[in-house]
Amino acid sequence: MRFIDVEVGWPGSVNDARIFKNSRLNHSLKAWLSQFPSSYVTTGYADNVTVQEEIPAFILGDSAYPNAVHIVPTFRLGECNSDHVVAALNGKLGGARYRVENAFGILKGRFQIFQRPMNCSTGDIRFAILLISACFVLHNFLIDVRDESGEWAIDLRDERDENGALERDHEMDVNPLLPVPEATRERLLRHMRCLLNGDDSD
Amino acid sequence: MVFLVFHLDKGADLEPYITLQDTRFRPSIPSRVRVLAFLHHVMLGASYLAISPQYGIGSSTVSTCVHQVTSAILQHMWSVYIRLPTVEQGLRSMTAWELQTHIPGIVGAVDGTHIHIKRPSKDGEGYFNRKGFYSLNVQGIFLLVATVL
Repeated sequence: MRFIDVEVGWPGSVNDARIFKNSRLNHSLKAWLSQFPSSYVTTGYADNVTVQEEIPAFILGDSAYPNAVHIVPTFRLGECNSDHVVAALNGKLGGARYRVENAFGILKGRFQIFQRPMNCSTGDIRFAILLISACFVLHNFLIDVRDESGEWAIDLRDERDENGALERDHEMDVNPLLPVPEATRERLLRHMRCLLNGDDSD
Repeated sequence: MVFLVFHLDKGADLEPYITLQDTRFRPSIPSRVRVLAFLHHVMLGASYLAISPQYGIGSSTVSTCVHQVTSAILQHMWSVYIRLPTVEQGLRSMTAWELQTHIPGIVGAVDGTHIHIKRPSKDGEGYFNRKGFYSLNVQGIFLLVATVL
């Protein structure tokens, strides 16, 4: 896992959503993500024509983050229990999340200074922030110098798609974009509902 | 760690920025020792007092070395190693995520973590988090694929 942006220096009492809202990346996120091509997923059937909707490139967050066009949070536990479609989508999103949780664990394991409370923060909190930032730089540096193992290539191969969900048909009708920007998660949810209903009827 | 020192000197070209001039008064501490003292501090979590006798330098000198190497890393390596990926790298990450989750469109992921610190003497209460200790909150954004070509 490679860090592409780090925001260090917010006190521990500030919550994740507020940090994201004020982070440097948040301002440029939309422009940056619009470079990537959108994908299309089937969200339903109307008059024997498959309805497809656009999924813009997005970033996956946990349930603390806002639900918007370019960021898709996972669901809270209460939401999962009430609806099996939500639970199914959450399962898929959560399957990727566990690797994310590991990324900070790897960093903290590699730099033992994070195992105990940092000393230098008592007098000079600014230096503590610099030191943490330097560790993130070194972490990426270490990935670069010893990453000839092709470790991540295994992840590309490990799972073949059993539902054929990857073989999307691009010739199908594409719904015109809705005028109001809608949270991408809602579209994914409709896609999931459509997939599950298809399975039920078969 | 020695492996890393070699790469930091050669691969990242950090050496010229942390090498100090020898004077008539005394020779300077070699850049490798400076980097090694820094790495000893962050990678093994040793205190300045513990590092001091290892390299035969005073504990306040260790502190100076750690400060200098930290700022050299941030000045000269930050923009090289922490930057947004190119479109091609992003697309590879998208493919990797899609194969794993069967959901298209995921470029990266965002997450936060708390770095445990001692209570800062100034505005200490602000650093007390919901988990019950003093911390700095760090937000990171990742790609699934590690390599960048």
